[in-house]
Amino acid sequence: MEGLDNEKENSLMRLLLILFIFLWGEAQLVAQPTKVIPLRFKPYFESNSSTLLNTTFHFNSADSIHFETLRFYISGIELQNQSKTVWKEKNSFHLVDAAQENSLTLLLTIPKKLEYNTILFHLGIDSNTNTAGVLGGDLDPTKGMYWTWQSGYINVKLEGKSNLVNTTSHAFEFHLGGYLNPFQTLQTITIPCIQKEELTLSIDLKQFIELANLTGTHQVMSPNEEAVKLSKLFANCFSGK
Amino acid sequence: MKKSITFVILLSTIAIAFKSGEQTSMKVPSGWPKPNYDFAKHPLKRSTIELGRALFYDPILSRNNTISCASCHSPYNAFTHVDHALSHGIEDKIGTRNSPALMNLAWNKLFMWDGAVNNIEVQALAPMHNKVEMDETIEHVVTKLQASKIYPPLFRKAFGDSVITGENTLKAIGQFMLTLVSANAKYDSVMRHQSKFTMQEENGYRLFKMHCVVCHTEPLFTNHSFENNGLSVDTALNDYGRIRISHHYNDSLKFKVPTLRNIEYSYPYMHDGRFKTLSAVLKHYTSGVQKSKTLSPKLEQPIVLSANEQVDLTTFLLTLSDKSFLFNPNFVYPKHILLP
Repeated sequence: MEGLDNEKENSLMRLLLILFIFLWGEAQLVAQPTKVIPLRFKPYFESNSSTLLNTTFHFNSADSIHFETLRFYISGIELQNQSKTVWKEKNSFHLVDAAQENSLTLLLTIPKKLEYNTILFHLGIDSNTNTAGVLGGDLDPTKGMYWTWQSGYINVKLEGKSNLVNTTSHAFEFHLGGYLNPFQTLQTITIPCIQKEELTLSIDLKQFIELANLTGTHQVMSPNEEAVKLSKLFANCFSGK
Repeated sequence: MKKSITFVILLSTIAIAFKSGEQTSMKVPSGWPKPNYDFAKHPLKRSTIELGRALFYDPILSRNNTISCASCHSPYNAFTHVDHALSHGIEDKIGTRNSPALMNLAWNKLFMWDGAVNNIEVQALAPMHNKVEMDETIEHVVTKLQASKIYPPLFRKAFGDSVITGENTLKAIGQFMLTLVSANAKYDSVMRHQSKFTMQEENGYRLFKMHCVVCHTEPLFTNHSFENNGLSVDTALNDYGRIRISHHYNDSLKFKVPTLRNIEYSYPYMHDGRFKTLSAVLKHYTSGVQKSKTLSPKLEQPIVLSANEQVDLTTFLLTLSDKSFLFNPNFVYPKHILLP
């Protein structure tokens, strides 16, 4: 019996030691000096244009386009140094909306002396979060980025008009999402970056539209092959330029 | 050492104090499997359930404030839309499916006839946004609730904040639906050795276990799978079921296996409500099954039941009626909230 008591006592002491180490570690993290780095997203069709939405852009003398909506989720932001993760954002889910200037800049609170050379993030929402029930903040279904006829987040919403669309309205609507195989649309984006006071990521929509081929595809509203293809194309438009 | 023990006891006391109060728990009926819903992560709370109950019965969830969840899910009919093959919603618009009976939802993995919804907390979004059901948006519902006199205090009580969000609105409706547990039919009392089947019911139970139990697995009377049970395609509806969601050819014509609990009260039957009576259902399984590539293998061979056996089987199915569920005062219209 005495042996058993000693064993129990040892287990308890071990548990308390682990708890102490954990709390000490947390305290160190809290005490670490931090700084705030703005992460800006700059979606553009023509690099010299300051506005994206409701501006008419011309491909050539005959073809034009204008965008009415651009919204997308950025999640799981982390910084890496020499391919090793050195910082991860907690609860990292952000809705970026071209119509809401504030949402185009995310504020990352990172350790002051952190060394990194790469930023990694997801375009969209992961499977676990998609099946976790109802969530709040930027993930609240009132944000208009959650499908209702079936469960799941819309990772990217891009809407507008172009004469390249062969319909009466000339409207295109891309609601890209899907969290289940074979139509998993979540994209991981890795971009080399230099340590600066702010990070800027550009999104080249001209590249996306040219590769998306509006004449052939102008409406994607559910998880399918097209949604997967277009999600990859959209992810490829991000750069650190 | 004594100090260490005191510290641990203190921590435990704090943890227990946080868990007490309004929190309530889901009692898993004896012999039932573990619920699929994670109650440890999302504990039930009395005030949230009560709020969800009010929302469930309030037509404020629809565009013109005429249709509530209960319009198609009446408690006295096992929370389905009795008498209507295809449920009708806003402005009497007719949908494409029979509203499913609501019970024992904590054990479901997927919701709706085709499994389009993956969590009970987001289920209410589907009828709310459907053009022929409620034709509303969650954004506008939140605005209407915030402007009402009764809801901000109820949300404050449930969530500690009178600012209403889509998240909390849907969570509350989900919590109420999770409480709709039916586990007190005659069948259950027989299983608990508190009563006995009649000879006819006993024979019906034997036949049930021979022909039906593979899909309508006890004790929930569903295995939660999607099956093609050999119904011919209604060419006006062209509803091919699960394939719309999964995009797998193997899922063509498959629909969720519904529970048989309270089946006496949940007529008409099947995803499109094509059968009004249990005898019509049995006639289908004994002589009406249409063969197709995705037909459930269990139905490849016709089920053979004599007229007497069909009566016995029906008699057994009636033992799945749970009056304490159908007439539970905690599940009915919350007059004290909506009509104070």
